Amino acid sequence: MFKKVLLPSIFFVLAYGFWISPDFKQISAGVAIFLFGMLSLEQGFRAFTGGTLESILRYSTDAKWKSLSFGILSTTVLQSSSLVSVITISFLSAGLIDLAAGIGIIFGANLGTTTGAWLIAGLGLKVKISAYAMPMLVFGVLLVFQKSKVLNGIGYILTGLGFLFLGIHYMKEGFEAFKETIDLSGYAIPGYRGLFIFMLIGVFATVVMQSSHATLVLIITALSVQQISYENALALAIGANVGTTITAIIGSLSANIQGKRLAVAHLIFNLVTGLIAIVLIQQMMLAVDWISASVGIQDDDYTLKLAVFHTIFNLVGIVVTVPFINIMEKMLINLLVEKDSPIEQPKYLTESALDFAETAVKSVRMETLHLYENAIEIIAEVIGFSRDEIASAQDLEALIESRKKLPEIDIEARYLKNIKGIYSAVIAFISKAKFNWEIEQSGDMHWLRKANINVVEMIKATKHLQKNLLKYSRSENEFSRMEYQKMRLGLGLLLRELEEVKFEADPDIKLLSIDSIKLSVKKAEETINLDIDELIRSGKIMPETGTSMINDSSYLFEIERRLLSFFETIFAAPNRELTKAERKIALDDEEIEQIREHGFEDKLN
Amino acid sequence: MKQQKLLDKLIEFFDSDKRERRKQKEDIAVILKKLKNRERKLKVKLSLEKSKKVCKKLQQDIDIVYAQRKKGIKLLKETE
Repeated sequence: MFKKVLLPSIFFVLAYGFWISPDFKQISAGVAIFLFGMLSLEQGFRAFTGGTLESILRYSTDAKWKSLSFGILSTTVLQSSSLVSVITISFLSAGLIDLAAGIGIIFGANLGTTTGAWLIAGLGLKVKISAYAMPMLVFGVLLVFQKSKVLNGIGYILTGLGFLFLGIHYMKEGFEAFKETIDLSGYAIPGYRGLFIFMLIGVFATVVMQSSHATLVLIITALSVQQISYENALALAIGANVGTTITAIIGSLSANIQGKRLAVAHLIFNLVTGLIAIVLIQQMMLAVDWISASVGIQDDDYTLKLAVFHTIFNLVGIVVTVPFINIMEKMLINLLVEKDSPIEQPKYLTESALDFAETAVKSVRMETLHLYENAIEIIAEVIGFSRDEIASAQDLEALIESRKKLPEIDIEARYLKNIKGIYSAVIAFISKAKFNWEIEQSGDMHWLRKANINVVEMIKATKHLQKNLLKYSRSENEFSRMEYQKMRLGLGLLLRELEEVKFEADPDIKLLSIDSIKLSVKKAEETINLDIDELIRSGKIMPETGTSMINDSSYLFEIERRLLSFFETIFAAPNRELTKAERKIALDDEEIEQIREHGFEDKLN
Repeated sequence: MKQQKLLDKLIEFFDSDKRERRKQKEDIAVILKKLKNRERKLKVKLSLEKSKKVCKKLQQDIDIVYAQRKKGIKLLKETE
């Protein structure tokens, strides 16, 4: 209800304001142009997020100070804490960084965003920036029409900066003209009452504009023409800081539980920082005066003093909260618990990841591995092992001997519970992925889709195999029982071998380990086929049992082939170029067949 | 000499095919080096292993790495 009324009310208030005051119209147009500039700037920086920003993020978050510095630097460069927040949330959701690192980045981004106030107060108001805005817009728009991704990105950045400057110019002009008709400074409220009222106005303005940067620029321009008092401007800045978390909360609604935890951490940080600023406002003002005097800022240069204040109170917030990052992480994990769903849901896929090609690919890769883990658990249980036994060094042959009867697993129910939800989500996610991406990422998505289909086909083949596995594990005929036990052992050993490759130290040549496994599988297939023929020929099993075995062995081979194909996608080296080289060196079926038939006698020179 | 080197670099800069071929060669060389390392480790493992079954498997792994290296070296020569 409130949401429905809010937008029309804002429209009405603005329209009435425009009618009675052309200056107000100019200020509002300035804000609108400024916001549009921010959108354009964000769009421009997104052009560079095809991998560069992501790889920097991955390597710069392994220590608390690194994630903090990353937050500060990236927000300073990008001038958008929301873009940094969105990237962080999508990386966190994709499981590529942990919550503590995410919190560190968000805290750093809060300090990074204060550089905006410095730029506006130090440069925006001192220099006639509208003179720079015009050429920027012209060059920017020309570049926006270019096909090259880099030039197009630079075009959006230039256009964005041009609009930002133009917006600031209009706001400044508007306030100056406004001053001649109405003096807003008459509405200044001293003391704590003013502090709270203006703080709430700051929160409201930021929620409406969805940008603390826009609120700050409005505060600074109003302050520069003394339309608001210095004390009230400080309160507005505190409010803007608290209000900006609303954007993060809204952004996290579509995120998974990790994204929600990060948004709450952001809210806690900004509330704590705001509270400290309110309680210690007098001391902070004294500190601002002292610092300003030390760095040579004039006593009446309130706009720069506001920038000093903005930096100090965010810095104090960081100093106070950083020691508690780990405690906060634990608390948030305990507080926001993942809902137990009857159908297992994806862990790593979030809508926000779709905007960043490289992150989206990584999310799908992680989710595919999640799906595989669930599938392996089912397959291992069907052949009579637990997931842990497969990963252990226990003698699988001895385990088969000790457990002659197989448990009856309801594969259909397990498929619905542990596979279908994740599989459907991955397929839906891949279909939503944009096809204007770089060719490499689209290619990766294609292969990952295939890998997911392989997992599901494995389960289907296991279901077919299970029927006779159960039947013949209880058979009176020792030969047929033994043959099915061999099938179980072969599959168990293959799963174990793949598990070992998964943890191999060198990720760059994992893919090449599969060739030897392929050869083993080919040899095992041949042995099984020969065994079955021999059993039928010698009359040790009935021909009907023999044909069942032939059918079941083809289900087994299907599972094995799908497993190998799955790993050929998943074991790709982290470096795409090296993967290409690996694929060239990998042996094809014919080459493996040759080694199987003739062995390998030829030695390298 | 210096001018020739500079000219070569300039030609390579504008010749994307040549640049790509050089990169491919470098990547294959990286993989070959890693494979050689793997082969050495497998041989050490084989010399210490007592179980016949495991020895057979290790010998197969070594054979496969041989074949891969042979293919890689051939590719490297072809990319010249």
